[in-house]
Amino acid sequence: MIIRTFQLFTCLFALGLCTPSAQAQYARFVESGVITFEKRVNMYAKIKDRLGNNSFMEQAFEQYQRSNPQFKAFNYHLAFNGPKTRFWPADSQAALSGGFFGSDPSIDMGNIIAADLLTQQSTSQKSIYEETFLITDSLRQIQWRFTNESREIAGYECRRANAILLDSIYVVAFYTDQIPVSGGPESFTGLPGMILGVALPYEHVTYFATKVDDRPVAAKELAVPTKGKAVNYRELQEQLKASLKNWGDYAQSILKAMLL
Amino acid sequence: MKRLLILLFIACACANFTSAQEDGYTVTGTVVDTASGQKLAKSSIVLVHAKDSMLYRFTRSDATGSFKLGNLDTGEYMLFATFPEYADYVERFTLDGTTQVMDFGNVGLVLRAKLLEEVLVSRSQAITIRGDTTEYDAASFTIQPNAKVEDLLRQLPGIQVDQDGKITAQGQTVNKVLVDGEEFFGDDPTLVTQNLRGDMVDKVQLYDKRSDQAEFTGVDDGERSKTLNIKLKDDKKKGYFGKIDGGAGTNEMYQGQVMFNRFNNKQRFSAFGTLGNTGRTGLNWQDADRYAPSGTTTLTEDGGIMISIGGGQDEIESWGGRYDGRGIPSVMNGGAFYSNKWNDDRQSINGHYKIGELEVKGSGSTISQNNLPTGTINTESGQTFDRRIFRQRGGAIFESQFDSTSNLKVTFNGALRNGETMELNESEGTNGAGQLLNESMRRTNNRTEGQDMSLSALWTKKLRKTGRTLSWDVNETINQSNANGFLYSENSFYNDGAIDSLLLVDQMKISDTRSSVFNSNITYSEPFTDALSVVLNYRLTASNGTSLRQSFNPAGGDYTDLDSLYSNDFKLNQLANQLGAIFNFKKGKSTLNFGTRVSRVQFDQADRYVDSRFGRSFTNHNPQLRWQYRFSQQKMFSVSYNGNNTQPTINQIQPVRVNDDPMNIVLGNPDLRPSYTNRFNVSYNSFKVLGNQYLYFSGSFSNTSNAIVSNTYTDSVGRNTFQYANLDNQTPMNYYFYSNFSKNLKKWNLDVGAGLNTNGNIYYNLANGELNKTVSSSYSGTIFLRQYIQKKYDFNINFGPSYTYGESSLQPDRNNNGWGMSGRYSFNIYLPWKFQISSEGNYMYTAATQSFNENFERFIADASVSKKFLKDETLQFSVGVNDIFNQNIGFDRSASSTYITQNRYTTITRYLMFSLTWDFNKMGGGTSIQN
Repeated sequence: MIIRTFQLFTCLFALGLCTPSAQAQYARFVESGVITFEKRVNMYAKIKDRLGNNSFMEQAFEQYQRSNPQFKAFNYHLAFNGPKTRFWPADSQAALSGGFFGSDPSIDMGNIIAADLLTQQSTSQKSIYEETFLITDSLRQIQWRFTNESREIAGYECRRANAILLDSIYVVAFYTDQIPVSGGPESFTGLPGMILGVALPYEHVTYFATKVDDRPVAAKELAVPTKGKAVNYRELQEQLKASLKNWGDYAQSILKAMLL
Repeated sequence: MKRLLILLFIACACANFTSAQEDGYTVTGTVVDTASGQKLAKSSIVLVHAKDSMLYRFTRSDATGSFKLGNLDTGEYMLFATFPEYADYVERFTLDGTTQVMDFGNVGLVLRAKLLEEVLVSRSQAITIRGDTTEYDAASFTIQPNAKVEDLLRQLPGIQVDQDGKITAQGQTVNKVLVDGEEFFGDDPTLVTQNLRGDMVDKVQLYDKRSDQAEFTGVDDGERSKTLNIKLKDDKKKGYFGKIDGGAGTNEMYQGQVMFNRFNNKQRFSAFGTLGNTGRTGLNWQDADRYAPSGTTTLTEDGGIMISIGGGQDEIESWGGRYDGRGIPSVMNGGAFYSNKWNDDRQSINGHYKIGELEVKGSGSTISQNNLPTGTINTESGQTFDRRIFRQRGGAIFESQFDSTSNLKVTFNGALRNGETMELNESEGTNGAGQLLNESMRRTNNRTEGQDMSLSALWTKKLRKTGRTLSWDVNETINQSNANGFLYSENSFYNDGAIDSLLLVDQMKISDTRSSVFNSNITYSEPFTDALSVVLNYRLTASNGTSLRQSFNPAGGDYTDLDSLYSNDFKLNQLANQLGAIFNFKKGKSTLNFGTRVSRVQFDQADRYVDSRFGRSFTNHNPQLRWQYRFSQQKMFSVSYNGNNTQPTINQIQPVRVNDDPMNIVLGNPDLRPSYTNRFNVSYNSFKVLGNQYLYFSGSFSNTSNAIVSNTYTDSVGRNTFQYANLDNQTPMNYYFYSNFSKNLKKWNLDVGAGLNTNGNIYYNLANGELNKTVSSSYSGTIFLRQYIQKKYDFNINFGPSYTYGESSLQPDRNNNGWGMSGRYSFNIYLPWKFQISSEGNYMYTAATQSFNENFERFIADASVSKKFLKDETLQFSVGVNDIFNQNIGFDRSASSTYITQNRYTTITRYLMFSLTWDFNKMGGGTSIQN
């Protein structure tokens, strides 16, 4: 019997040895906080896409390259608490002084977006040219494609998902399991975790989180925007289409950017 | 007991069954850590469609590790269960008639580190590693002898285990790939198979092939992994395009044009030629940009684009040719252009050559009336002329960028020209009673020749501090021209109906002018703060020139007797030093710009015949101030002030004595002082992009102190003598105001707009010693309508009234006040079978005035019908009529102070023309030329 017990103990001991570091990893899930995003726009590529065979534009582009850096950066914040999120620009809305090449609204619109992921509703404040619109509508349903690719962003492990928006805008997003909120920057939502990185390769724009501030978030940091002409998404699309219909192909590409 | 248990079991089963029916197709399970058995809460559970991995539904496990997803559709799915630091669990399953509830039971997750440890230590698990596009097994996966789990983890970023324990890892992906500096994310073939954009496909091929189209530069960005940077070579532009058009018409009208442009990567060659007698003397704006680019585009400080078209000197290009509508022209010109860039676009060269000939023949008649306090003098005259000019111009621009901070641009231009003119002028002057006062006949023949050359270099350097720049612009221009001609004139002067005197001039005239100007300007800009900066400049201008004019009287059958009264030989030297400082202050929405430039000029003129010198030195001031306020990107307001000196010209101080026109003689005034002009400008502009509304207005006011005005003495026989003097106690002024508003009416897709303009001035001059003040102003309004329906039709109409007012103090009873009306229209209608009707025209109406008691009305309209042929519509045949109503008869009239003039002249009149145009295009790379 003693031998039996001894064997039992040995087995148990061996078992103990054979299972090193068998503890479940402690993982912290972030339920509320503020994420800082850096938006980068590749100005050279965007302008190059617009050039035709026009020698004046080519010369102006060369001059632009000499006196401006390749990327323009903008900072945004995304505050979230459970299902509620709010996205807004960190730098005050400086008048876009890009001149001829900077007046393209698809470069940066300084959107303020408040979303409720439970009710699937969002309210966005967009300023397009001389008008400010307040768009209240349901969240965009994005058909994401799941992948196995991963990357680390702001210290969090993220998984990649791809999608096509508005029939022709290719989106690459990275979301993290550690923030169980289906939100993200701008109007990108609908993934199993918080989106910490978004790239629109053909629009030459990326948003990547630089910092995640894991802290409780007050209600006023999630306040819904109120300024602007109240419309829903469909009405906005109609109004923009009507105003830009005589602009030709160029309008179609910026129209898509304005609707994002 | 057993029965009870069975009943309970059935009840439970029934309960399960009913609940399953309520929830439709369901998936349930519990997530646990395989090793410790601990339940994992908040684990991510994701369902994707098995065939294309599209995300379907997701949830999180609750506090007890359980999860449930209900109300699903039938189909084949994959379930992913993931938790930070754990390998992903993957299982494929189907929901259909046979399986309505998929219960995964305990989903066991394994720590990644543990999984790899087993691979390393015991090699008991087979591992499949998936790379970019291939899958290969563990055998080819090299494991270093003392490899640590951490190293492996880094190399295998994603690990999955499926229900059979099979391990798949995402391996060997390069962390970051940059293409032209921007991170490349790789296309998703499942999504991108839908037709999106052609360039997307190119990028995918590039990523897979990494062919000769790219260069690799490894960049070590500090992290352990290397970042690949792929630099795309520029799109190879290869191909050519061009246009040929020709036309022939009635009245012996003809025109033709050929244009050709060839691209070979960075090299560009183009050539063009035009000929015709329709008044078209060169390429229009768009064709000029494509075939003979000469403009330079620069980015202004606030990012706007400024396009400057190379110099007004280039008469061979569009807008030039010096055909002003009088006479019948005949033109022939052509040119070639070459440009190339190399060394990564750091060096570039542009060369151009143009050659052209213009001949204009015409005749005209003039009636004028000079109303003096002493009486009226009426003059009637007739002219015929024949002028020809032949020009050649060539030049090159070489630009080199040494590094990111300095840049050199060297420009060379040269021109050769020669020509002949022949003019015959006959005139007769009578007084108010109809008595003959003078009669004159003048015939001139002239042959001219000229050469110009200029060389300039511009060097700019950016210094270390942002905004601190230095630039140096040096330029040397040499001009030479000489003329050789004959003047024959007979002038008779009458008194009381009988001949009083006779003047005969028969001379050979030779002139030779040379000048050389050297200009050097150094500018330095320094930013004091983010908001304040200054631009300092120093400019040195040195010019030397000689002017020789000789008149020879006939002697013994040839013109050899030098007429010293009308001959002179001058040498002119001028040296100017200018210093300027302009400050620029930018804060928020305001930009303020102010400063001044001061120059000290020394002028020296030597008369080589009488060996006398005339020297003058003077100072010019040029203060300026500009304030611009940008309300927003689309709304802007600006106000500016400008002041400058105007020095009296050589002709006003010490004119050269000429006898070209014995009826008009100019005397000099060496006591003239410079005048000073103030100018104020205001402008506002607002553009509503979405509202399609546009408003613009601008105004300016200026006045001059110490103005230099003309003092005219007219003698009894109608000879005029001009002299200039400073005006001490009056300041002439002028102003203008221009406004324009346009809006798009959405309902009809029609653009409408209106504009109001006014301008006016107060002008002084002396007539026979008395001060004459002339006030004139004009007011006009326009309304316009515009509509553009693509491929159907478009039209543009504008019209409006105007009122002109003028009053002269010496002749208060005589004026030229009156109403007028003018308008322009154009339209294009696109008909089926590729037909098109176009027309454009302008209308002008001037009411009778006190001076001219007949109305003047003219409506010039052109119209054409054309048809496009060939599938790509590149061949076009058109029949057109110019001036359908034959109203361009060459007529204009004007009035100023005491003079009223009416002019008739030959010009191009109505004609019918047939023309054919062919566009050809063989450009590779699908570049569009529809710009």
